[in-house]
Amino acid sequence: MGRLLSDAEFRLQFFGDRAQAIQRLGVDDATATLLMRLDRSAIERQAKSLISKRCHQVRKSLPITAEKLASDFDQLFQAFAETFWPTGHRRHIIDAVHFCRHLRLLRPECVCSQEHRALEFVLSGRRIAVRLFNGAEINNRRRCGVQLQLKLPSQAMPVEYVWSLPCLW
Amino acid sequence: MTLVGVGYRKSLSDWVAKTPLEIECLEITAEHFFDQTERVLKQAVGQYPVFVHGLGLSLATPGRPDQETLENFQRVVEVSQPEWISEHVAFTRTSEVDLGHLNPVPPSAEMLDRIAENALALSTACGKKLILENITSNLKLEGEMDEPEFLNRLCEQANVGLLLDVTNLFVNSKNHGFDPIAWLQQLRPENIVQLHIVGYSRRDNRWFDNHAKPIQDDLLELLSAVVDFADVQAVIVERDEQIPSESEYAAELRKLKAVCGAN
Repeated sequence: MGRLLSDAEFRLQFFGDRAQAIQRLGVDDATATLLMRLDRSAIERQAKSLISKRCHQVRKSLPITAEKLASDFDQLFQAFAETFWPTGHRRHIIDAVHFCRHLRLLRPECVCSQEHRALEFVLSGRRIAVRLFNGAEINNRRRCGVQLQLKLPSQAMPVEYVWSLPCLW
Repeated sequence: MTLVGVGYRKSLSDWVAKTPLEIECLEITAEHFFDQTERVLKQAVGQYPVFVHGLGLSLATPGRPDQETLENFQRVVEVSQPEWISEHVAFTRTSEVDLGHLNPVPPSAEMLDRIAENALALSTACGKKLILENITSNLKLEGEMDEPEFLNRLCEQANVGLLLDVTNLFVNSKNHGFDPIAWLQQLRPENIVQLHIVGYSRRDNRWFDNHAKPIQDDLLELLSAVVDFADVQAVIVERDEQIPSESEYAAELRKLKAVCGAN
C-alpha cells in the first residue's frame, strides 16, 4: 500500500495488470483480495493528497522561493516529491531543504539562500551560526549580508538576524 | 461537564498564556515539541488540563512503533502530564516509505490485532489512558467488518477510548455517501472520550478537512447529536491555517460550549 501511494510508476504497472502485479508481490489471500478491490481513482486521489500536503508544508517553509517560482512551484515540487520521501518528525523541514538542493540544479536563481540556510540550521546540531554572504534578501534587494542564527532554550524556534553590509557592496 | 478548548499552535501562544475563560483545556501535538526544551513545553501548557496528541506513531504499521518517536512522545507526556494521550487509527509509514500523513486501514481482524497490540504498548509505555481517532481519507478500504464495529472492538481489545473527530465523520459521510448519525449510533457511547472539530472546505463536489475554516452550522448539528449520544469529556477545535483573531476564536468556543451545555 505504501508503494502504491508513493510511487506513480508502480501504480501505473499495478493497475495495468493487477492480477500479475499481485502475484509478483506474493501477498496472502486476504491482502490479494483487498488489492484486487482497490478503487484506482481513490488511490490516485489519496496519493495526490499526500503530495499536496507536503507541497503545502514546504511552501510555508519557503515563502520567498515560492513567490519567485510563482505558478511553477507546485509542478516542480510534484516532480521532486515522487523521487524523495523524507522521514521522521522533521520531515517537512527535510523536505524543504532537499527541495532547495533540487532547485539549485534546475532553477538556482529562484532559491532564496537565506531561507535555505535557515532551514539547514534548524536541522543541524549547532546552536549558533554566523555567515557572511553575497545575495542576502534584504528589503527585497540582494546585498552582501551577515546572517546570525541562534537556538535559545527559551524559544521554540531559532532566532535569526540579518544585516546588510553596504560598505562591502 | 464537557470541557472546550483548542489545539495549541505557536501562533496562539500569547492568547493561550492569557488563560481566557473560553479555553478550558488544551491539546498539544507531541511532534511539535520533540525538539523543544522542557521549559518551552511547560510554558506552552501552563496550568491547563492537557491532552497529548500523536501524529507519527503509525500504530497500524507491522511491528512496534518507531523507538525514537516513542521515546520523544514519552518525554512530552512526562513533562506535560496530560489527562490522556491520543493517536490515530491509521498508518503513516510502511517498512519501505514514510508517507508522513495519515492513511486508512482495512477494518479486518488482522488489523484489529495489530493496532490493539501497538496501542497497548503505547499506553503502557506512557502510563496514560490512550484514545484513538477516526481519520478522513479519499480511500475507503474494505474489511471483514464496518468501521464502527471495528472501532468498538478495538476499544474493547486494546482497552482504549475514542477520540471522535466530528469533522472527519462529516467529511467521510459526504465523500463516501453514508449517514453520519446511523454510523454514530453503531458506536458504543461509553467509548467516546474526546472530540475534534474544525470547519470543512468544499471543492469540485468533494469535502476536505483542511483545518482552515470556521465551524459550519451542519457540523454544529452533528456535534449536538454526538454530545447528546455520549458523555463527552472534552472538545478540541483544531485550526492550523487562517487562525482567527482571539475574539473570533473565543466566540467560536462559546458557541461550542453552548451546544455542549444544551445537551
